[in-house]
Amino acid sequence: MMVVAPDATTLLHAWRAGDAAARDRLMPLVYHELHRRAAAYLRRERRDHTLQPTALVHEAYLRLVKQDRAAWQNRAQFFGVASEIMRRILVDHARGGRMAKRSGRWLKVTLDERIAEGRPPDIDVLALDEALTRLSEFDPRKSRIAELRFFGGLSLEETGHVLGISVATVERDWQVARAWLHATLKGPRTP
Amino acid sequence: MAARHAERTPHSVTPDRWRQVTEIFHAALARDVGTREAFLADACRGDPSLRAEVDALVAAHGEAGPFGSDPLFPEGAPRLSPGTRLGTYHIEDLLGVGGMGEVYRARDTELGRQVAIKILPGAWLADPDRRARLDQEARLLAALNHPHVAAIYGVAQADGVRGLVLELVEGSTLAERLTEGPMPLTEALSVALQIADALDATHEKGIVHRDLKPANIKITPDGVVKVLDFGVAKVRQSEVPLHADHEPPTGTAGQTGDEVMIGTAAYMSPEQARGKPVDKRADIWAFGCVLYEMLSGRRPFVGETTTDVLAAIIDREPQWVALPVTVPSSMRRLLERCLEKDPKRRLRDIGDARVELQDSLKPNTMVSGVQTGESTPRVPRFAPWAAIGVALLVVVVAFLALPYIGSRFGNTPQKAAGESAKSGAEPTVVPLTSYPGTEDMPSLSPDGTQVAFRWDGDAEDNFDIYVKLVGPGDPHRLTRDPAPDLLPKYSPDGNSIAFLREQAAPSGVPAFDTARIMSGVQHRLGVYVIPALGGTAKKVGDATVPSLAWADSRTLVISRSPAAKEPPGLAMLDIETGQVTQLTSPRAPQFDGLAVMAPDGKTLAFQRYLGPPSVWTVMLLTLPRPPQPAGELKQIGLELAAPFGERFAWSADGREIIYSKFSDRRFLWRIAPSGDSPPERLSFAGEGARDVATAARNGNRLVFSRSLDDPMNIWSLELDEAGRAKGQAVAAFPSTREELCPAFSPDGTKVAFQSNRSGSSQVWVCSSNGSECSAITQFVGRHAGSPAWSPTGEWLTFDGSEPGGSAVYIVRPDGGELKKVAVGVVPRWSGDGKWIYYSRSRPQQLYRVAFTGGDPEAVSGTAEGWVAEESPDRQWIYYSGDPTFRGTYLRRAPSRGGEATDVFPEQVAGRNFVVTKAGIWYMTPGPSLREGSLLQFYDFASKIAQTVYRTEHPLGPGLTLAPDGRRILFTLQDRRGSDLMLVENFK
Repeated sequence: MMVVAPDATTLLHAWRAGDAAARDRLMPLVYHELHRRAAAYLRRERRDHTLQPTALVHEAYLRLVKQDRAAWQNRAQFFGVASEIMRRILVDHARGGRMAKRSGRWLKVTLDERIAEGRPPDIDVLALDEALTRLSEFDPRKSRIAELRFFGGLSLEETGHVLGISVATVERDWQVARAWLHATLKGPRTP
Repeated sequence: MAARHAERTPHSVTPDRWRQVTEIFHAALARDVGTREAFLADACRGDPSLRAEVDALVAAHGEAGPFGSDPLFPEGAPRLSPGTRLGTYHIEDLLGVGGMGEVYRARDTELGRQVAIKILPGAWLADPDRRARLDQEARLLAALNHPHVAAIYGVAQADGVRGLVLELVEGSTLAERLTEGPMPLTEALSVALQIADALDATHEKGIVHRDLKPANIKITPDGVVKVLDFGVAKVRQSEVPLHADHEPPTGTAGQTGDEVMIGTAAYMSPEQARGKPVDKRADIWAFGCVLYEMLSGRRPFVGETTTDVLAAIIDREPQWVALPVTVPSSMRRLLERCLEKDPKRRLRDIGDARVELQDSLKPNTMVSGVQTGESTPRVPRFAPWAAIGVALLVVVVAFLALPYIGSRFGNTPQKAAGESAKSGAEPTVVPLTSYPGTEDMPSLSPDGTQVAFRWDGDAEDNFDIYVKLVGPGDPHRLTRDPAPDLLPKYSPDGNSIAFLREQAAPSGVPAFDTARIMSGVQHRLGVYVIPALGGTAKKVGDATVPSLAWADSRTLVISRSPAAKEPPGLAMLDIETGQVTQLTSPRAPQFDGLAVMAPDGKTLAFQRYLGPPSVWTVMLLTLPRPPQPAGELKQIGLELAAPFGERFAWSADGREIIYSKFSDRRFLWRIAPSGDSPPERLSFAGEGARDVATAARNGNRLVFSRSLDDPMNIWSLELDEAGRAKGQAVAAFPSTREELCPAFSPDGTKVAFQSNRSGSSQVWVCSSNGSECSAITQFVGRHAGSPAWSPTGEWLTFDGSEPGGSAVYIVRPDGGELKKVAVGVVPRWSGDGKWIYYSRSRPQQLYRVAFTGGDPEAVSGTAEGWVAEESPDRQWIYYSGDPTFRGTYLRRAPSRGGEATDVFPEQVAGRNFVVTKAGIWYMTPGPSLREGSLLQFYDFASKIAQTVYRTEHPLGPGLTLAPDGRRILFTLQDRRGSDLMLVENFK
């Protein structure tokens, strides 16, 4: 009786095969899954848990997409979509957290344990989001590359695949984006 | 957006300047540090601000360290592609990539079974050390033939690739399971026992696993536990310091997401953390960590960085208070002994843990760590517990004797369940209601012939109480109050229905939020009673938390705060006198709710919130007569997350509780309230179950509500002559299936859209009022969608999947023969009816083709175009596209050729735009995902976009405007939705 909605694998295949609507329909699925996972994770604890968005994206992928041969090839596409959604979820969450700060329910979001090693532990998601938005104003491609790397955990090669540019270009752009973001997040450059 | 950020941007960067900065940056990095200074001085000569910007970037580059590096996914493709043969093994796909290897799913062509094959990652292929390690793992596993260790079948070798052939274990890892929160006690203990079994056998062979963690523990769908990944295991004789292996055991180089997510150092013993030699006691430590996490839902040692985690392991005690109170003291003691920092004082032998676990899993020991019943009494290890234990013994025995033990059936619940499942007809599940919107919170009349429920109605705007015969027939609406009604409950005689009505719900706030209740912001709920056949609802009292149960025909059990700022507890309410007697008085942050009366009329099961992390435990009490504060409460080994969405019911014989659990995929389960047998999943019910109801006098019948999975619906919004929204959008073709991509016919009398109401996605045409629907396509095994009309209304074009891609078709609107005109998607007709615009991917490009057939031609100047539509005067081609990877923007290019430009600086959803003479209707996601979607109108004359309509629903594909401009249809995703399902032959 229940009609089963097309699953992510089918949509991913359809998208790859050229069905543009499939992307539209994949977005809510991915959003739902990611949001559910992120929420479950954030619900579990307060300060002492780190949220690793890229791990969540990866998990969502494993969960949503049947692991057949073609799906493997579609991985990069999925991550392209998922990184965008992950960014929005985290920003939403951080905004909520900021608003709730006064009520003592402030949740810190740490992007990645390894980033934190040996340096100040948190990347402020909102600051990163704003910096990415700023970067996109004058260099959209670099901003998108950084988004894919930060929120989707894509490798340079996969990033190149998603954007249809060579790995060499990604590498070069990433070098700049990374330095610029680091400088921007470090604090105001003006005296 | 730009304006807001500008305040924070000291200098805006022009593209030229930016290019200059990045070029010098790259050139500087290409030089070594010695010559860099001279180069920079030269390159930035006379421009100190340029120099400053480059310097800042170069410095940041040097300081960035691991910033942004993400080793989660190993770079480069996996080595074996699907289809590769490795000896007799046929590689099917990659299962995961870890630091120690790549694991593939493969088929053994000789034996015809599925296996997992683990090979070394490419980088280590030539490393003799690594190869030796792989061979050692093979030998270890071969020596370890154990049901709870994933077995090795052999070694496969071909073309220089050497791989371990392993048992393929289906199911999810414990790490995946734990992302959903803590496990119920019995389940956790059962998993722990199996792990202990595996470790016991491992240690007996002199092998130390050294990397035990939830990601290395798999649970099959049957509940069998398998320990995996002996990749860093050691034989006892060769104990060496950890770092002599050039590799910490967990989470360094690229591993699969789970492993990294669960984190890295978290399960390392203090001696491992210090880099000292390890033995089997490190596994016992890790076992303790895993058991703690299963019970509490959190890791025992946490920190924001790996260093912090290690520090916690060495210095800090786990938070014992995070363990649910249901955990018996023997288990707490076991945990303390496993997590003893000094290995010399730690539990010496995992076999001891096994014994403890087996004892704890025995019947009648699950009650607050106190021994009861006829099992051999064990002496509790702590004197205080022993004292309390003796004191409670009498009470608990009395409880156990109440509804089930020694009942007239004289049988254990578990056995009864097993038997009944085998006898008689199989349970069947059929939909009882499938109205639009949400039908949930069912209550069955005692004889099981009628069901009361709440429904938000055709308009999906307000919850009221409805009743319906079980079987065909329309629902009868009992309440019409504008306030939301909830939780209808049939009285024991079936003549009345009690329900709750929200009295003062602050708008926009989700009802019954735990945090709000805890913070004292409480709902006020009216308690009402109404005749089951209809009549006037009479208010009989007030409540605080949604919970309602009949104690007898004139007494209700509600949950309310006895005084301001006191947490809600259960109370008995006399519906004739209004007298309230408090039953329970939990201490903050605890509070009680969701009481369900057992069929014996004496025992009440309810949920108590124990505090963060969200732990709810089911407790029992015996209703005191006459009403007075309740005596002892009994916890049973059942914990449910998410209080108010989750409901449970007693089986008609009172021997089981049937419940749905938020933390899995909402399966239905049953468990004996004594907690002495593991829960049994009711597989016939499928997924998505929420609320459960049983009939007191008809044990064969069960009703539950099933959540629907976000279907898409087409919504209709009336517009006035000025193009402003008239009222609220309403569902245009309501159903619980999905409908999307609407398109008005040119005369406005019909709407074509895409729907899966026949089972798969097909193109449908209905008259614009929603009647006379028919499927235009009946693709078998394929889908069809994205319909668009020709300007004369004589033809429809649509896209449909075909092997290897999608094609554009045309068809008469009344069906008939299909004609394929091109390969591509999302077709739209040109204004003169001669052409069809569509797009193809790889590379993304717009094309057009004569609808009579012929060669397609690329539409020039429309880079990355996706969906195209001509302007009414045919001078422009408007299209959505993403040429700069910034997101999808609406662009336009002259029809005669030429460069395209953005129409306005706002993102649009790919196909949700309509171009008219006056402007463009389009849809865009709200400013955040929570804020739904916006319908906008961009006015050509003023060049201003205005919001016409705002909805909280997320956007779906499709937007169409009626030819008279007075009605607009769009697709939204429905967040809500729930149907009632009926189970017959339930036993």
